[in-house]
Amino acid sequence: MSEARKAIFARLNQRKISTKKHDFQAPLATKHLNKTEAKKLLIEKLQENRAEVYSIPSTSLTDTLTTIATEKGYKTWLFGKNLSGAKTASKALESVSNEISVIQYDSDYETLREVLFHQVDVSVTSVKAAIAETGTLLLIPDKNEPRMMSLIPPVHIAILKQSDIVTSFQQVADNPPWQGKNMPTNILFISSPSKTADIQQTIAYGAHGPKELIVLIVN
Amino acid sequence: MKTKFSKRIELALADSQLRMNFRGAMDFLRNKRQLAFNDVEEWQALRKKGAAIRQDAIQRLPELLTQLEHQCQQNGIQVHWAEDGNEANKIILNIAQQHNAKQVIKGKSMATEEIELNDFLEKHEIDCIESDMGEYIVQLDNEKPSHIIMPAIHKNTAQITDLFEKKLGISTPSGDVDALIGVGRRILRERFEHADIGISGVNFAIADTGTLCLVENEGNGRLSTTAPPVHIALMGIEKVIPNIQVLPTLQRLLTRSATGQHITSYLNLISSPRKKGELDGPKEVHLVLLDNGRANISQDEKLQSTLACIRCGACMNHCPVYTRIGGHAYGSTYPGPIGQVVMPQIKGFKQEGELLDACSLNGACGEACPVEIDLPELIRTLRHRKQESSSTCWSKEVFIWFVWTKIHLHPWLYRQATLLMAVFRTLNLNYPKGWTRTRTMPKAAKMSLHRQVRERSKTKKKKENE
Amino acid sequence: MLNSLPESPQVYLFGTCLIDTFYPKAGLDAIALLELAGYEVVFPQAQTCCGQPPYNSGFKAPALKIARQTIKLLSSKDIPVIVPSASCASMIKNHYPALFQKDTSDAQLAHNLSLRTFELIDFLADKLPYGQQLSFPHCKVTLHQSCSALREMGVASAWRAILEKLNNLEICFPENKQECCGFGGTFAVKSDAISAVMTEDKCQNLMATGGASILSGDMGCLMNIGEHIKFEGQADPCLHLASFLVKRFGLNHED
Repeated sequence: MSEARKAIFARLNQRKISTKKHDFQAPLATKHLNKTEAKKLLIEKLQENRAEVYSIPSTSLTDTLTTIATEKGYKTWLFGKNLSGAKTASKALESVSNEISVIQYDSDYETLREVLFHQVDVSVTSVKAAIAETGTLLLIPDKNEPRMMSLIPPVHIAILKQSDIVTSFQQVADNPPWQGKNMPTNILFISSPSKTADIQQTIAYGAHGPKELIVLIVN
Repeated sequence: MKTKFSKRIELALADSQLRMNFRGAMDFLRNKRQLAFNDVEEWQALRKKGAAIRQDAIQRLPELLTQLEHQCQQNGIQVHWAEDGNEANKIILNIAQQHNAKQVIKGKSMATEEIELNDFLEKHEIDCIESDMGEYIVQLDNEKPSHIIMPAIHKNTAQITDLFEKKLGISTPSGDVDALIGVGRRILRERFEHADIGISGVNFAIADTGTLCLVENEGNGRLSTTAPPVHIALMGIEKVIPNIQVLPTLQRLLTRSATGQHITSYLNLISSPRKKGELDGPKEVHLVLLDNGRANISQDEKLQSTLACIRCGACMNHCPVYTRIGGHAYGSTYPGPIGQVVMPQIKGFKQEGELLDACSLNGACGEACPVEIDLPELIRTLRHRKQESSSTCWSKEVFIWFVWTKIHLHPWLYRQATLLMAVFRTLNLNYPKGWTRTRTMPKAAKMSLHRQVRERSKTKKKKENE
Repeated sequence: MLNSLPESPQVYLFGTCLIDTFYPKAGLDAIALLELAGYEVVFPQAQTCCGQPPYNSGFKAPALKIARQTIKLLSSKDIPVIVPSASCASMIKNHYPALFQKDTSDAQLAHNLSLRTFELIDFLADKLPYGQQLSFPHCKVTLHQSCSALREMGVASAWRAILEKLNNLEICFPENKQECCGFGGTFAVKSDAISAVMTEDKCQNLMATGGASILSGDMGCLMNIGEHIKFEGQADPCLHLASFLVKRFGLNHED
């Protein structure tokens, strides 16, 4: 045990003061939204924060991605392994034009670093859940969909299942989609493209991470 | 060498550009926050809960810190303890040297400012680059942050355009913020790609899961904590919270108070280094727990609430003094009301006690604080402590209050004093100078209220007797 | 002594040292209004200052002594204590109780006094006979809500409410109305540079409203504001709310 630790705890344990009970667990009044309201609010909030949002039937995921590829001219696509339909989508994208290529995040970051920083135009990930109240996507990166996917490429396309929309952050915290104290390495709450207002309070997007965030809500 | 506080204040007040930049920025931030908390009842309930969460955590620091340490270690995070800034710097340097690190990239962290980490690493030939846009701008100009949330708030776009041209040799169209951010992005992404170590602060640390929470908009915090092979997080020991259930309340209070946002772009929860089979993330995560006076503050009933602070900056945005002199004039890591409260406690009255004078006790900061810290009361209490700690010396001020007390404790003497003032009311005094620099001296009335009331009751009695 | 007339309820007036020495008119006006509202005003001649100046300047011991003296003075009768200044009222109401160790007799007395202490305008707001006010031509006034009224005492809304009950009166507020005027007691002397700028800004905003008078219930702020406006070579437009009300109700007393 370090000396510093001992000294700090000695100071902390002087118990010079009387302690009071603080009721911090009383829940706050919350509104509960039904599915339609929640989806509507989510879209509204995401758009407020400069995300592009499309609501699509599950059958047209591939079509939507190829349309985005054609319209926006994104060439190098990055996929992970979590997304169902990724294979079909990759194939379809590559057949749009021979300029389009698809990369899989399947080796470690050190190997892929240069590609990630300099080649990838757009990355596609799944989303664990979404919070309507603030327009927030919950991502839990893992070996199939690593952390950098939603961070380094200039465009991030997030695929959200409509059934995964909840009302509030508190709901997620009270019933987290992970196992008790077994925390995933990293949990991300994403609410907009990367942005800054550090220069004269003027908002600029794409400070370090994605300049664009496209959310596809799949029915 | 630091100039005197009063000198720095005069300089800041004379800088009309600086004054305009701050006034504009503070009005903007206050209005945005106002809009975010337009539901007063909701704000009060949220604030009450936030205060309770923080006060509970401060009272249970030993328990929560033990739990945090244990859980972090379980998760593979290496935990270090530092009694002061010097120790924290050495721990961080040691880790860096073990990895032969030459380049460090840093996310925004006031704790690293507090321990002056950049200077320390530089002395040991480790290049430490700030990656938050505001911090980067400030570092480029060899300055310190002037605000804890918006470090470069003292500069306007034109000044930053000039700075980039001068220091980087890159010119951008005038007034083009996107272009400036684009320059920063290019340079900093290069650094993220190649840095040996990433250093960050911590907004909250969850004890029962061993999780570090980082709140940010830019993504530089995420990059600093994900790209380099080693991540070192530095946090003050007061930032621990019991569990994730309390996080939503604190997050809402923090982001809305800081920038008026309902949530930031990113909330990043880190619970371990890269696990086996995972493809990215640092292979080592270190958590440095910094005391630097905090443990002692936690044992002081009257000052303990200092530690409840969640570093949102609302107190400075609402402070009429900060709004006018800006952050640099304070010459301290934390400026504004929270700085006036924190700095004298961690550095002592001798070094930072002067900060306590720059407050009119108007109460705007306390009203704005999202976790109900009674900042004016803390400032008042610290003024008392400062005075008590120097009570042996007879300064001019001590003498004045000694005489004042003698007079005011003796009603007869007091009445003679007011009588004297009335008699000499026509004397044109130009004292005290502080008052008369922008005001005339008030004239005592011909007859004090005491006297007039006495006369009045005499006449009344006379009338009654007639 | 026998008295057949029904006795009016009594109140103490704690006049404050500033009003006592510099602005006794405001104190007399406070008495006139209290009497209009049906109270008999008791003004203990032994009162001095509430102790706020040393208390806020870091000198707790003198403040404690003054507080003891004031508490004793204002506790011989169990009647309301009326203070024509929000900041002095707050000293007695909010800070006296915190000066003493819990559960001591001093703390008990301070607590009792705290419950009986009111800021003048707040106390009067629902007690004045508004039907008796004189009629006046349309007039515009500017209200300076002091920081103590806004925050520590929470009586700023009562100030506004009382003005709203007066006829033909337009009430203006300056830009940044929530901001401190720069007085802050010894702050104005100790941190004179900052205080000066705050005062200048406040006066500019107040004057820009075009109100004929600047009204407030805190004589400290009004002294700061008025003396600056005089410094700038203009006439002092400041008036204590009590004095303004006295005019409105046509109450005369010998000056």
